[in-house]
Amino acid sequence: MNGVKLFLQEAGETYRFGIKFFRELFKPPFEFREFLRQCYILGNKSIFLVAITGFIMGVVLTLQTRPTMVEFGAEAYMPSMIGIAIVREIGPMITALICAGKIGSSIGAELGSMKVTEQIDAMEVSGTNPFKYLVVTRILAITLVLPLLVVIADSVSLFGSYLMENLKGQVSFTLFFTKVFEVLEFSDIIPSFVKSFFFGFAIGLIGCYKGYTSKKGTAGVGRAANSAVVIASLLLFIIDFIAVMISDIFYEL
Amino acid sequence: MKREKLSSVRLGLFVVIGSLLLIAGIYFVGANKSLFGSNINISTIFTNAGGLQAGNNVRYAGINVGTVRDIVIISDSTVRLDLKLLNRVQPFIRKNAVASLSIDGIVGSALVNITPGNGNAPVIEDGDFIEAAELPGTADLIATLGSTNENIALFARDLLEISDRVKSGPGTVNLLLQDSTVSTDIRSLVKNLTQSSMLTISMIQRLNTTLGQIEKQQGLLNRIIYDTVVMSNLKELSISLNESISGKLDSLMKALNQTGTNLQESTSKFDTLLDDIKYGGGPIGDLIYDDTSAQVIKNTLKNIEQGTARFNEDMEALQHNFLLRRFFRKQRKDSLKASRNGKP
Repeated sequence: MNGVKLFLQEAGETYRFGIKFFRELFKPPFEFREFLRQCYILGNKSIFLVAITGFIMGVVLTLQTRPTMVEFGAEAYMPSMIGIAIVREIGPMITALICAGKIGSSIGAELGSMKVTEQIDAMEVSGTNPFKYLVVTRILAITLVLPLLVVIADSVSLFGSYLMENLKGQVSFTLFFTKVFEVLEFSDIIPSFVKSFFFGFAIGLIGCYKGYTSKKGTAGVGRAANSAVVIASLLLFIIDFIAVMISDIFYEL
Repeated sequence: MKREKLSSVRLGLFVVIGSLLLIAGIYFVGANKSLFGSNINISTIFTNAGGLQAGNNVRYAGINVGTVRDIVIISDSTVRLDLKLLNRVQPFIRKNAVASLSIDGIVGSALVNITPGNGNAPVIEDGDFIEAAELPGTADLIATLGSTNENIALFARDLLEISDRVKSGPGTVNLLLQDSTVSTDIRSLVKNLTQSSMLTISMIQRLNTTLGQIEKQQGLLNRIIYDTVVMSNLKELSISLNESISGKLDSLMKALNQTGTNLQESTSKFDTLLDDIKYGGGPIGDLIYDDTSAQVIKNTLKNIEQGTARFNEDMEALQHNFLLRRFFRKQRKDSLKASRNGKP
């Protein structure tokens, strides 16, 4: 009973935190420089991780599904199948989970430690809006950067898949990508791209909320980072589920 | 500050690359759907869209040249397909092109095939309608296949019956197949045929040479066939024959006529003779026609018979007479001896 009450309280406060983000977002002054800095930190520093994960996912997915497809005599459908799988689901989801792990925890820990060391209070005293400077910039940055990371992950993943196809089935670069783009529709690309924005927002929101509201003491920092990752990951799956349902309605697949 | 600038450059690079990749992806997908570039729109009317959807490919000569833009139901039996074709294929498609529905592979998606029509026609233009050829669907194909199968089964049964009959029946084919003597017969028949044909050939050759000879030499036949003088000679001959025969015949006929009149005269004479016999009262006439004389003759004959019987009795009495007994006994003995000697 206490757990349910705690959960509902958390949910409500997270929601209020999100509303506050949108209210502060459109209110000047804008911390543009800090926003770019956060984009660089959250985006550029994640490219390598996201790319390597995507590449490995492409390679592994190809190697794992290939024997079955060959058994069915559907070897020619490999590029189409891999293309659909990566663009629709695997690219956005893997990228978001990696970012939840890396970015969510880093935001939670950073803001948590700032809270614990009372830097946030100090900022407030000095006249800077800490919510605007710390939270809005980070959430906006990750929201806008994650879709780009997803696109990069998709591309690298497809390239990894192509390498495996080329190695095992002598499929040329042109043939592979012709087949991928032949089977892809806008109903594949657009929902997964839009979905990535929500993924990014969820990661930033949970990370910031957990860090911003972390309890006093060094244990609070660790807990903030940890719960940010766990809740963000869980939320990602829920958003994914909802996004698939909605795109289903729109595109009647 | 320098470090911050570097990070901004890197961030810019990241954003640009990410955006470019996204735009490239969208472009390639869109290019496949003929969303970009200039297009022409044409339409065709089907009775059955066969599971076609907007966005399916349109092929010309096996190449993807566009997509199905829209499918509109016009009435209960007609469906209009709006096709969007790339501008660059416009010069190759003519107004008499024919659209048909087909399937990509066995389980692939439906597509529209455009095939060139017969003869020449102007190049297609935006908004044109092209003809549609409805190919038999899978269900029709299966139905046809089913009836074909039934026919094949019937045929096979008939064939079986025929072969059974051939095997067991007394027919000609059976004889040919089973009887070993037939083959020798056939062989001899063929031999005879060969011989006779050889003979025929030699006969024909001889006939040929004979005909050649007739043609070349001055024989009778040659004359008949080739000599035109012969004909007139023959005519003359027949005319003279006619003359001579007719003259002789005339006299012959006259003589015959004379004989005939003579014969008639003698016949009438004979007739009067017969009349005389009949009514003249002569002995011959009596003999033939008089009943009373016939009775007299019959009585005379009866008397003679009776006389003869009496004579026989008299002779019998004579035999037993003592005077003549010895003579008759001796005569009997002699006749007996003669009969014994006759058969030893």
